[in-house]
Amino acid sequence: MPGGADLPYCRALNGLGNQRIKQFVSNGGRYIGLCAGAYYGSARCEFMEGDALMEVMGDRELQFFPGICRGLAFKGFVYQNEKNAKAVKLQVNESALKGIMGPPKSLMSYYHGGGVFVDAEKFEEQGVEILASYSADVECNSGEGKAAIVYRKVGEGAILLTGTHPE
Amino acid sequence: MNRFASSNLDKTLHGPEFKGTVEALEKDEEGRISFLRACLTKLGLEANHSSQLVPSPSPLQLTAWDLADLPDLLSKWKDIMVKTTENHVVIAGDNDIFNVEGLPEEVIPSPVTDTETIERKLESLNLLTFDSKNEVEDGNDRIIDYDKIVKHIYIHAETYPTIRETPKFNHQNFYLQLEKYAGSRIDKISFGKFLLYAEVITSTSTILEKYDPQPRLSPARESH
Repeated sequence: MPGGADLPYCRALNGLGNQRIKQFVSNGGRYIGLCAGAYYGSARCEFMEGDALMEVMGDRELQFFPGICRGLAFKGFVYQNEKNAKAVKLQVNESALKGIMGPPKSLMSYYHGGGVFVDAEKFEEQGVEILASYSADVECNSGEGKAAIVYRKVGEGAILLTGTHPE
Repeated sequence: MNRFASSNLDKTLHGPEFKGTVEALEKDEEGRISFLRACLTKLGLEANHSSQLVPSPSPLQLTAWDLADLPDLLSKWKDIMVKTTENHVVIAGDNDIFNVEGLPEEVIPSPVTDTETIERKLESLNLLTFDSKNEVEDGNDRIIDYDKIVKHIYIHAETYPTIRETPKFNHQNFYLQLEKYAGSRIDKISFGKFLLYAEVITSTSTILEKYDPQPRLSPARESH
């Protein structure tokens, strides 16, 4: 599920659509949610709270990340225009990627409007693994930690949600 | 998985800050790829290890059940074929430019006096390559504008392509089966009479949209 905006996804897929997605993943499928797709894949989307024009706040059905995906991690987002996009540094969680060839210790990643996975560490028991965190301090309340990219096994399948655009 | 790769971002599009962003990403393209590959592996997906992710378009091979029918077909192309000053024979289609090779002598167009229009068009398209190998210089994962690549059509006027030339398609066998299918009607059927084959093409939807039907390209209006 790519970036852009997540409300259109809600309009199109709430109810039956999301049921099918959940079933697909449970049965062994994969869901990769990038930026808007990550807000959409979390239990709650909290985007630009307090901004009268841009705010998007609401519960989401997929709940692949059982908590809140909150943005902006870094200010400057506008729709339909990349000019304020940033290259942000991510710290890779080496233990989560142990045994997998090649991941660097840190990397620069394209950022524009994505969120942070609030209190991600607290969901470890529910299978949430943080694959990378924002190196710099984020500009919204990220709770414990600054999770930028999370992974979780769901049923027979698995999900990946990203606040940046590694793709 | 390369929509936001620095090679696909135009650093001149916005101000100096955006330029700086793209350049910072350019420097760490390797880090991005190895991290992304690790994430996909974690998901249990198989990540491609080769650097070229998209195959280049392969040449088009023109044949006919009866190869003697080809000159007749090709003579109908005379209006749309142009011989350039560099001795290439070129067709400027609606969407693509085709370089034609292997034309029998009798249907090679004589150099037209006014090649200016086509030369100008070729120039304006800023084509990526015009050599017969049709290779695209692509060490990185840039999204390629396939309209800008010259497509090659080889005319097989003497024999069908060998299996080595078209490893994924056996022309000999195709025409053999066609004969079996058509039986005594083999001279009368239009399906399969001419075949333009390529292993990798740029866009089937473009072909269906822009080139079908092309009465100039086939003596009969065939459904594709």
